[in-house]
Amino acid sequence: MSDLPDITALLKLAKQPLPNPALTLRAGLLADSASQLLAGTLRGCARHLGFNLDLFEGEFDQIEMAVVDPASALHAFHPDAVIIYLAAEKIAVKFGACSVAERGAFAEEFAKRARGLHRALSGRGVQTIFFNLADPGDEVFGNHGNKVSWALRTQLRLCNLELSRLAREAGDFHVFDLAALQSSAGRAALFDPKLYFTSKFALAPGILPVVARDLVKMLAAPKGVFLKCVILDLDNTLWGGVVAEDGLDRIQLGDLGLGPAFTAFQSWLKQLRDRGIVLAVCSKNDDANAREPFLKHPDMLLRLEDIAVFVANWDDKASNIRRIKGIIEIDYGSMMFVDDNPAERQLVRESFPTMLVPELPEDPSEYVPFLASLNPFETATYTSQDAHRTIEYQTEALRHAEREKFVDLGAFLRSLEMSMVVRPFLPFNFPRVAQLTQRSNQFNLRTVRYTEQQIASLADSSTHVTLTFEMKDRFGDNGLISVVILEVKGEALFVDTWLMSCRVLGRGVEQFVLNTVVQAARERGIKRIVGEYLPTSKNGMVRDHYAKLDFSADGGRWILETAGYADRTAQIALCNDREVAHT
Amino acid sequence: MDTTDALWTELTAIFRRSLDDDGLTLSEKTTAADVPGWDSITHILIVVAVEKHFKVKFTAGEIQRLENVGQLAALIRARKT
Repeated sequence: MSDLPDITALLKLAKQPLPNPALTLRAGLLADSASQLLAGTLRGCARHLGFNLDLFEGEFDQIEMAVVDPASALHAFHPDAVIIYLAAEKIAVKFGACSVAERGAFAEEFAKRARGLHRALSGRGVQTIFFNLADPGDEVFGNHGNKVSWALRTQLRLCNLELSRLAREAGDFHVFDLAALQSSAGRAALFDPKLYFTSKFALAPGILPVVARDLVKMLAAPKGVFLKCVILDLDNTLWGGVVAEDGLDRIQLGDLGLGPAFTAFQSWLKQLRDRGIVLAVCSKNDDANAREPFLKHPDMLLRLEDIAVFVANWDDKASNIRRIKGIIEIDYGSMMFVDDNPAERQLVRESFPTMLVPELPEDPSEYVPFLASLNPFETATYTSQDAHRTIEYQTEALRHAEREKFVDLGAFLRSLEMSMVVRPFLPFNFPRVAQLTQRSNQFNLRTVRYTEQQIASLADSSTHVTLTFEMKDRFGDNGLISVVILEVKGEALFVDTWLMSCRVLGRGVEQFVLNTVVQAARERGIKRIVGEYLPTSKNGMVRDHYAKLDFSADGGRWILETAGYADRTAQIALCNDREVAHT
Repeated sequence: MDTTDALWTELTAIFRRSLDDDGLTLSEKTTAADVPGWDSITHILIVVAVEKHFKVKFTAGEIQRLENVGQLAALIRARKT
């Protein structure tokens, strides 16, 4: 991912759709100002990021008509998401025509409007991406406005708070934070009054590329496209200086020299880790020297428990990154590599073309502002289990070390003392299940992405069997590692979804899951299980999944007859009475 | 009107980029009707690009009164002197 092209370049790209896009996004754009420039920039930006975007542009200022009328052209288009942009400038003008009482109630009415639009879209299974309001800064009251409930600024802020609240309540309502963008870019970058009053464009062309980039990321995130991991160098990246040369007490952290900049960087990384982004260290150092600051320096914010995989040796960084991938099984395109050394960055860029390798500024003071400006970590879902991800990877590293001690795989697997809890989709696991269907790219037979709302429908469906698999072993809890969705189709059970965490490959989970699927079929008197593999650029590892499980090939599909099926061996104990969703 | 000086060359470059036409040549009398692709959208982008490149700001009225490229060049020149 390189520098963002300007609007002219993006509009040109918009006219050149990709022949083989990694992904095609499908969205609607509704606005009460002129939207052609934003629409073109969105298409161009999607293309720049490697996707095609089929975008429906609503009629000028016809938002309710498009959303509320079930026969509208918008709904006939079947978007996955609808972007709604209400311009604060329009509201500001309307304010003048309102009575003081109306102004004071504005945010309440605005919230009702937003909720109404959300409800209509949500009812049709469509995600809503709603722009919040950027303050036009009319200074009718100046700072005193904070004391006045019916001041425009007060009401706009209340509107934004209401939108945030709705975003927290509803999984399918997302806020595009235009107010935050204006805060960092400045009002002049966002708004050109001449353009607005003559041509009704409420966003200045210069800001459209960034707006488009972030919207495209929000559209792509539920399809599995987002960063999951940051690989970090140590010397002059996490602290100032070289620990092996300067010694523990002279590296710059805390108040020493440029320490405050590095401490700020560590704080940012710590917050990323807390939200489930995996941190890995890849440093050219002796392991002991590299670990010392984490263990002993009082101003280190990051500790070893924040680092999922710690690699410090004298091998080249490309080999080390491959090693890291072997442990955490995140694909290279979901990683960001941060290193102050341009030569290392170039090497990594060339070795892993899909990895994000930003050109870190020379001045450490600029690390956080620069990396933040890339907005690398947009995502569609966040669950409380995300915070545990680092611990999960750390225990994985322990399992890898344990494996080395066994010659016989069977003996190793028995030594793990694995046990599995099998459950149907239940409200408590809807978010995590949806998230897995959106994140999982590699061990995923059909790569069907589901939102939380769709998972809830499947849980309720009488023609579907839903299965979740949570595994523990003596090292720790792997959590939810596999999801299966089966659909009753006539005399057969069709495997709509079979995905698994790559971390548990080779442990017998596939066999255990198959035993569970066959049992579900038998309980319904179904004699045949039908599987399908839909190839993508990332799931080559499961091409022979059904062959390996002794399914027979039949046309493009895979068939298993349950008569005569004997349970496959898996060194995994069932932990509870199995609950399978009943029809 | 000097159509060979730096201002005219830079203006032509802006038009070429915005209209995606490397071979475009402009004359003083050129109007939007004469150039394929010069529509209301590209017009806006050309004005924005001109303002940014020459570090000038036009009023809405001035833009609305422009009839051809020559008048645009004259407007820029007047601002820069």
